[in-house]
Amino acid sequence: MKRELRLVKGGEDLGSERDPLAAEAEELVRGAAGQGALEAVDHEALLALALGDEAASFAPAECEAAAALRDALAGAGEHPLAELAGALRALHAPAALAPRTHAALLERALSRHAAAAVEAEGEPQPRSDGHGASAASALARAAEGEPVPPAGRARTSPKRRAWPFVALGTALAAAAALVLVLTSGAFDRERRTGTPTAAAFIQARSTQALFDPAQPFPARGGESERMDRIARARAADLRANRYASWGVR
Amino acid sequence: MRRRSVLLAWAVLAVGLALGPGGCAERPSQDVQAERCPEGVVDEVLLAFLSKARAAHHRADLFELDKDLDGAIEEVERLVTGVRPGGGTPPPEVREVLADSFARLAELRGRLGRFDDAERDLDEGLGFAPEVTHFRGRLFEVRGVVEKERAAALEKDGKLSESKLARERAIRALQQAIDVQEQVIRDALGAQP
Repeated sequence: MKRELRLVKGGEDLGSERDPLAAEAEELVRGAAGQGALEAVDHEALLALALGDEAASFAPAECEAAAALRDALAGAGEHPLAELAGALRALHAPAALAPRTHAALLERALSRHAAAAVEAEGEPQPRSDGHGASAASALARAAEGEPVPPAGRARTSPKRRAWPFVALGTALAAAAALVLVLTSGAFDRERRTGTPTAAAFIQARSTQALFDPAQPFPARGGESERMDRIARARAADLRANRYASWGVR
Repeated sequence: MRRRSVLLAWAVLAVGLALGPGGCAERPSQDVQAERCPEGVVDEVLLAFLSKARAAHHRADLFELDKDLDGAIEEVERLVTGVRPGGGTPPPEVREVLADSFARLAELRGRLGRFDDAERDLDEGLGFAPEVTHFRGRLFEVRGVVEKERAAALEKDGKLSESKLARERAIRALQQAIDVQEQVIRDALGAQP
């Protein structure tokens, strides 16, 4: 499904432009950006669920919709929002290409390069087992972990002319693979842990800021009130840290 | 030349494949644990300690209301000698709560005439409050009050020279309290000393 996308301003009214799916997506994105207000019932339910209240209940229709979306996200079934979620996920943390997909893309690209080069020379199309294609196939097989047979000698001039493209394509693919492999570790770790870095959390620190600097503590009494104030302030910090660990801000 | 460039590309690919996943695989659970439990953040353990401190001081209040100062001392003592987060290097909140609790212990013991015990509490409390804060200021203030009470007690017993020394210590401690509190205010206002 292809859609035309354009940037919209924060408060822009899209009027009749939007279809129902776009409206729902817009609402979700605005909500994620903190622009929408939760209804009191939803807020209570989310809070209860987050704090471990197993008895938190939702309307049956909501449960069904959630189950359908969950199945679609897991690859079983379809849901209009699953495509959007997949696109957002790919934007945030793209997954590594499956070896078979990678091999197919390489083969198609290299074959096209070889064919275009030969065509530009005005010479006949090389056979499907030509050098460029066979190199691509070998690369594809190597990517899948299969043994690669030794390459044969180039016998004709069109094949010789295709070699620089093959070499260039191979070098580019290798460089891309290297970058992908070296960077995918960070993505994997983030996905595995699901937690942001320490900088996202509120740090333990002096409580002096909770008290009026111009009002020294009395020599006698007042400890309980001070403990109340410290515990209340840090309880709020802990709540914020919990949300941060869940990726919510 | 052509073959060499292709071979080089394959070599780069091979090195990349060898380094990438291997590097991640060789750093399994420790990194994960470190990211899940970043040090120095406000966490459940810290809040549990603060909650315990809060309850202990409220209980001590109730004992004080019943004029049971020993009961109050016991409550606060249990807090300062109990388990605390951070082991040898507790987080700032824990240090400040402990400093405040030692100040209370000293103040209670001073009221009961246990001046030497109070002195030890104050020394220990000051170890938890090395920074210029109200907590440190209060410890000096309590020391001044305790020494003043000691001076009065010594004078009552006819030990005039010892009483005088205690009075001098009280004056010094109270001046230290004033200096610390002044510095707290200066720091808050961003003024130069």
